[in-house]
Amino acid sequence: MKKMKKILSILLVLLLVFSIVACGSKKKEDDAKKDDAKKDDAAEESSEEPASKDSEESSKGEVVLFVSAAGALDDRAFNSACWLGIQDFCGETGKTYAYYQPTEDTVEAQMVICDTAVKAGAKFIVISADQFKLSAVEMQESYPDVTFIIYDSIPTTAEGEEIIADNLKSILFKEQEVGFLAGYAAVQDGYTKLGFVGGMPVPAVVRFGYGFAKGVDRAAEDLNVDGVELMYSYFGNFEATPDNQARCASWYQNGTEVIFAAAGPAGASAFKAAEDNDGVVIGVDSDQSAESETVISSAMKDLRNLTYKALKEWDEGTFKGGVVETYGSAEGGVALPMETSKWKNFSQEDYDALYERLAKDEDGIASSIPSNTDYDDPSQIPLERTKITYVQ
Amino acid sequence: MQTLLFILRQTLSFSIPLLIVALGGTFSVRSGITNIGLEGMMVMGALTSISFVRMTQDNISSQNQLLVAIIISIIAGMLISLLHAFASVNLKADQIISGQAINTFAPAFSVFVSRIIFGEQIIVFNNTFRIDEIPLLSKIPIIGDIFFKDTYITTYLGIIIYLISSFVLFKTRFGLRLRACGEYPQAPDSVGINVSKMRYIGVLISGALCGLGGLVYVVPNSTNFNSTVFGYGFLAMAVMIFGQWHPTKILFASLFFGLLMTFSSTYSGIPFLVSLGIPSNYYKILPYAMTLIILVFNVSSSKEPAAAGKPFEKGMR
Repeated sequence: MKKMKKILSILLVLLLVFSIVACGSKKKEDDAKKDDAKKDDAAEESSEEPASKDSEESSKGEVVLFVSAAGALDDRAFNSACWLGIQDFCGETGKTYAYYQPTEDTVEAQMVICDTAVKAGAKFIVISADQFKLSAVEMQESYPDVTFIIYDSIPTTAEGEEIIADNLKSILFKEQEVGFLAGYAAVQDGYTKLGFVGGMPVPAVVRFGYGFAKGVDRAAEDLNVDGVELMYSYFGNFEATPDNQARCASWYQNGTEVIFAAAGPAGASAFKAAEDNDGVVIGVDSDQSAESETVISSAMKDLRNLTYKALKEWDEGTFKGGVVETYGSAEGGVALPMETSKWKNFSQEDYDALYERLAKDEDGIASSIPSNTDYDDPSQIPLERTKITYVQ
Repeated sequence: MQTLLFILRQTLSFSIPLLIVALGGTFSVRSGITNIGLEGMMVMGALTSISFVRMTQDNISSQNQLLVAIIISIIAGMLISLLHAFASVNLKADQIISGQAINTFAPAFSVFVSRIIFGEQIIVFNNTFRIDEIPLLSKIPIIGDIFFKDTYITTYLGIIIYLISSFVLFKTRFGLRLRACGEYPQAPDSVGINVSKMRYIGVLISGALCGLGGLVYVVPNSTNFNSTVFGYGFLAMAVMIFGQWHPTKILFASLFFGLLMTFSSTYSGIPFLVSLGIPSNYYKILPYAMTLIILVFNVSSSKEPAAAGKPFEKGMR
């Protein structure tokens, strides 16, 4: 009986840790993960960089990628794209590279990996997520000799003051514009029952979602389509759990035809649900057409190329920090990969015309798309012809 | 009708892995070895079999591939459970600790191995195992729709394992001996039954079923495997305790949990549940709140095998 109680108490604690706190389940393994990652990055370096034997003293990597605790390096979406950009550059220049993932998304844990990385020889650090917003303030000041770029975020103090030092560049995207493109294309292609699932409501994901809603509505208005419905939800994590799969499956079951999944690795849940229920998915960040037959298009950000470009500038000494750069359709920083897309009616010409309108902001079309700060939740977006159901 | 069918199918896909793993745990506990390493064993089974699927996905037809993957997951589960058996039976170590060691070790090992083999932590595979329809059987009204359309071999496997488990545990000489070792090992020992051997067998069966459970868990739910089964092993333990280490009760317990989890994740796609207007958080809390409540009420009448968790010394009184 005593044993029983002991087991039971352990069991209940573990249940709580693993289940209720959705991302909590990652923390414990991440310790191990980080160690593994270091180990085999070291292995990777020595095997992939035989030419630069002498740089092995600075062993752990001059170019470093920080991945948030909630994300994963091989998400086949955001982080994978940054990682490829780093690999492109380091493959050319023979520099070493590595990635680090904190055990949890707190300033302390994030500073620990920053210290470790810099001590191991990091000169250029790519920070891939908004979760580093607070710690980035400290990082840029503690290590003035290290160059940083941070995606999807501007370093902000706890008091809400934005601080960008000269050794850091913030790169933002107008995710709402590519979300808009995807939504518009889907409706023009003939879909009327749509869905959006995000991972967690971080600014970039919210912008994807709001843009998608607006794109759907705008297309319904322009093309005079009636009865357009949009399901809208956040998973609350970036993991391919059965819950996420079941949620997507239930939407398909209830008539949803296409789901835009802006959820990193959790996109696999949507792919699986689509495969089982004859639905289709719009992918995110990278061209995800290879991940599943059901991916009809992807809302891409030009991460690989921009990472490479920033590194190149740094290498040539032309890197300029202290600024925020925003990439939208006007800068060519977002796109749908039309070559691999499986649209039935939405043609390359349609796409080019729409993209042009967005880039030039004709009739204020681009500025009419809401950004993440405009509304508290998606049900507040004023939509003319679309019935939006926000599932909390 | 369509919605109802969907709920039933989804319930099965949640329940079957729980059922298999909880039955696995039962064999171990019934033989007298507490096994809280279910989660870790699931991860190992999933890791090996999904790796196999990934490596061979262009070469073998999908159902054969799944059959081999099933065997591989079983073997992997048995191998890792050997560690637990060795620590608990030969070394007479604290069984909680070695079980927890497996839980901690497996996900980390999985990340390590998949990065070495595939160069990435998330193993993506072609999930082509779904059977659209089984000829003839799918024509049976209602039952055909539930069990014989859009289904996986693994669903039947779960049901077969349930039937075999109840038979083996309660209708065979082996089952009687196994249970005796879990209740009062001195008794079987006194009539010349090798308690250590019986306990080894119990833990090995448990490992086999957990490994299989890991595969069964991944197949209907995802197209990738990210070194974790999201606490399903622990949930299966709850099901096992709720089911009082009895296969039939475990079957119902897992169906019950499966149903609750189905509600909690699919309410937004079920018009009836949406129309009730209950705030969504209540649905989400439901499975976990029910777990707590049921376990609290159940503990007082627990029928856990009396010798579970206690190392057996020969000649012990």
